[in-house]
Amino acid sequence: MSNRQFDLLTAGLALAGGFAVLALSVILFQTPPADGFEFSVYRGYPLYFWVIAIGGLLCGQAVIVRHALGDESTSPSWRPGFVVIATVQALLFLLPYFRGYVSYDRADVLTHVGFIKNIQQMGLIPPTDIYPNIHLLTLTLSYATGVEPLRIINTVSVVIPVFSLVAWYALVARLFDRRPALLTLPFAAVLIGGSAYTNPSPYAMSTQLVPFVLYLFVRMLQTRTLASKFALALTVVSVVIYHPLTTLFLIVGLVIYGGVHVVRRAGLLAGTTAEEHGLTGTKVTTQLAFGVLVGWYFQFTPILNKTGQVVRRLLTRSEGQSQFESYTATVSETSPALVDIVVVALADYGITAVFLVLGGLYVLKLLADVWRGRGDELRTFEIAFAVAFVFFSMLSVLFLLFDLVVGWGRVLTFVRFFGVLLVGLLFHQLYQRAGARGIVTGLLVISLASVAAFGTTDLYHSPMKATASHQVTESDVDGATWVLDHRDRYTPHVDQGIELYRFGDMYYGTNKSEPRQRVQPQTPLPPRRFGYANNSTLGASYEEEHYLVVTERGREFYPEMYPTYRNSWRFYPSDYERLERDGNVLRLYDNGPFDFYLVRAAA
Amino acid sequence: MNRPDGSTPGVLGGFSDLVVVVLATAALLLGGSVLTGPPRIVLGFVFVFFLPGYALTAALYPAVEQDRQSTFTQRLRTAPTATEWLVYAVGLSIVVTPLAVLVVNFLPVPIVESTALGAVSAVTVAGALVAIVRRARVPPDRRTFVPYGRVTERLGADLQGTPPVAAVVVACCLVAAGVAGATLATQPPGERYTEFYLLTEADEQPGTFVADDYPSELGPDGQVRLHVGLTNQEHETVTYTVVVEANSVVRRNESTAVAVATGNEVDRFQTTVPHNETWRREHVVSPEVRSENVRLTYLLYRGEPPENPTMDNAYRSVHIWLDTTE
Repeated sequence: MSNRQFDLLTAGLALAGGFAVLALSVILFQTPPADGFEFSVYRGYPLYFWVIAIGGLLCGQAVIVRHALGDESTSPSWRPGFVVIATVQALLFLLPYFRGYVSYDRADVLTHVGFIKNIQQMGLIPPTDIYPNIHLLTLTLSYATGVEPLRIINTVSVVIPVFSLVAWYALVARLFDRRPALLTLPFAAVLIGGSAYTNPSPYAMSTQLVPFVLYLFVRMLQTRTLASKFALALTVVSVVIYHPLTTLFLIVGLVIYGGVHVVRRAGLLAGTTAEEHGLTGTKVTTQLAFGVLVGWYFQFTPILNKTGQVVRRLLTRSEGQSQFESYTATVSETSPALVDIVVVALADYGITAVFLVLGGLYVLKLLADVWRGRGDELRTFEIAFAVAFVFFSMLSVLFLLFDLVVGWGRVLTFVRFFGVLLVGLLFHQLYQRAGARGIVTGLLVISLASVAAFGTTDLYHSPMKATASHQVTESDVDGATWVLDHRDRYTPHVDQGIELYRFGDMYYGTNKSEPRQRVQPQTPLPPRRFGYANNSTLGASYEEEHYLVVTERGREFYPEMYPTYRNSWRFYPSDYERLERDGNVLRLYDNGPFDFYLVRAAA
Repeated sequence: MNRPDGSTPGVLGGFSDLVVVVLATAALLLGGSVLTGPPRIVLGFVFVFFLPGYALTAALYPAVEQDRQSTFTQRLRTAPTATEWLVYAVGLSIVVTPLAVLVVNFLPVPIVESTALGAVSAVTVAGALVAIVRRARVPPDRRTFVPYGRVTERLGADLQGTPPVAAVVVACCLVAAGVAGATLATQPPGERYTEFYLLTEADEQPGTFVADDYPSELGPDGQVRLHVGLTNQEHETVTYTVVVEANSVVRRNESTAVAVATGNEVDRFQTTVPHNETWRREHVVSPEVRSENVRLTYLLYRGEPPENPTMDNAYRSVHIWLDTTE
């Protein structure tokens, strides 16, 4: 194909991307909002909507890649491709609003709304609020827009992720020459954050600031200006208060960079470039981050307790079930079909797998270069990214195999971040050296398509990932607040399809000012089959009165999530019907999806 | 922010952007309570996610580079490019906004709307003032400014290019953004439902209604007192009919209830309730059926109920169980 033909093809792809964006907006306009709880936002729109979305992302990626493989005069510019990618993703991030959800991500987010409520009520940050930045940001936004925090919080998980895309662009433009930058950008800018994009909680949002922090760090090293140092220092202090784990992982990254720098200056992996000056900036940044981290967090007892917990679990292997044990237990209990396991694995971890493979290939190539004595051609940043990628990959295995308080998914985020910084370099070097350009291009296309597809399936919780949607409905909120307003606080409750204590946090705030506001956290599920397999009444399962909350999310959980695994269901539709005939079960509240019962203990 | 060699800043001597920043900040701080709806929301987002960071960036970078370099050869470039300005502005806003309010936490004033917005405004205005001072000290030919003329030139060049692919793509994205905005602004409510419930009046606190102490048998007067209520979340005014039935259990054997009899209506009443309003009334009932397991059921219908009201055809239903034997 001639250059002219390539240019026409690229122009066609750019236009296709633009029209895809337009088509998506029209579909969104024509589709009415959800009329209740939906187990999957993916079912809220027709299949072609998702095909167009992934296609739009691919078109944008292809335009950027075409420019990477051409020269600066290649037409059209790569920028329309980036604009298409950013716009498609902005529309996808806004889906909770298009679907009419009250909010999205129902667990932690409701508690974070509770923290915000406490700040509003008390006029100061409560002592239990150990990372208040996201709360203060959301509260300020609520005051500035006049929209209550519960309704505005999900816009934070639109603005920050979209900003993150542009920050990735700024980072790669600073780090790399034109071609590797344009080979990195289509990966970095497409959904590598996964479900963190749609979760406006401190850790998820703080990870979206990582490309900005790295960009400022690189800029500081390259320009050495006071302005860049000030901006970096301010950002580091703020990120510390956004979340400690993100800060800890960033410190690890800085230490790795510093370590690689020291090793090179000692003569191993010899070679520095003019831009790589002393370590002062790295040292000061690391010290600042560590100092603020310790100074801020170690005044909070929960942090000290959690740190102790992690160390104990690592050393003694006692307490709790690791994620690996949890996965294997589920598989052995339910004996799922292999195809179901593969679907869940790809939807949840497909994008991570892409970066593990490509990042791993680059690491192998780098080791081969060092072995052949070509280490001096490598930049310190590249080696540091590779070491960080390997470190976080190994760390994620530790978090998978041991119960270390937080899940391995949090570490995998950093595997993807450092992996993406290696991918562009990998393809750049493959194109430079490999004779089989066609194979490299094929691998590139498959990788980009995988990232676009798996990134889209990973964005929202759904049965594809073996989880129900994290949508919060109006009926949930109204039902829960009715229960909280009218219940007897001494009567215990069991919940199905809802965690009442989260709504308690949202309604009263996390710091309860009166005893009657306290809600028992993490209550057990009702007995299997409501006890009807062995008893004639649910009341026989309890020694005292209990409240029972059942939502549509609970009733439909097993039929929707595991339709072909009936033998593993905990409840059947007939069990809910029997509740209505049970002489010890009073149905006191009904708003359609939300039912509230009082269960009298059987004599 | 680059400028063609030899050009002059133009509007307000190159300080127009900072003037706009200060005015926009003042507009929200002073007029925020007057503004409502989409204009306030848009201004609010700009206030939180752009203005503070922009002012700080302007304070940090009062001067431009002398020479232009392409996007990807800018490693030694000290002044930010246009895109880097955007990254700085939004990024530093995300960083600084919560820190500004955090400072209020340590002052002897509460965190309320005025102090939170005031703190962010203080950062923005302080940044803008520092930027003005620093920019004024820079020779005019190196002063940072918004190149309005150059932006227009580039747009014109893009539109004149053949084919104007970039312009078409950007136009598609802008139209899509407009359609999306219109969708969000005009979206009809998704969920429509009615809350229906039973309460009792707390003995210790008359006038307080609770989900507790429901009667399990008839009172000394042979009656049962409950409070039945509903809240309309249908986004329209609805006329409801409540049908009250008292039915006994039909048993297969001593322990298993297979069905509850139907059709023993003891009362019915209607009410019309506007959207987002609550209706509640005390209901006193004396069921005549005598049984150890009588289900006193309240069936709610929108409009008129069917000829044979049951739980299956009711819009909503609630019930308690009574022992009506003597």
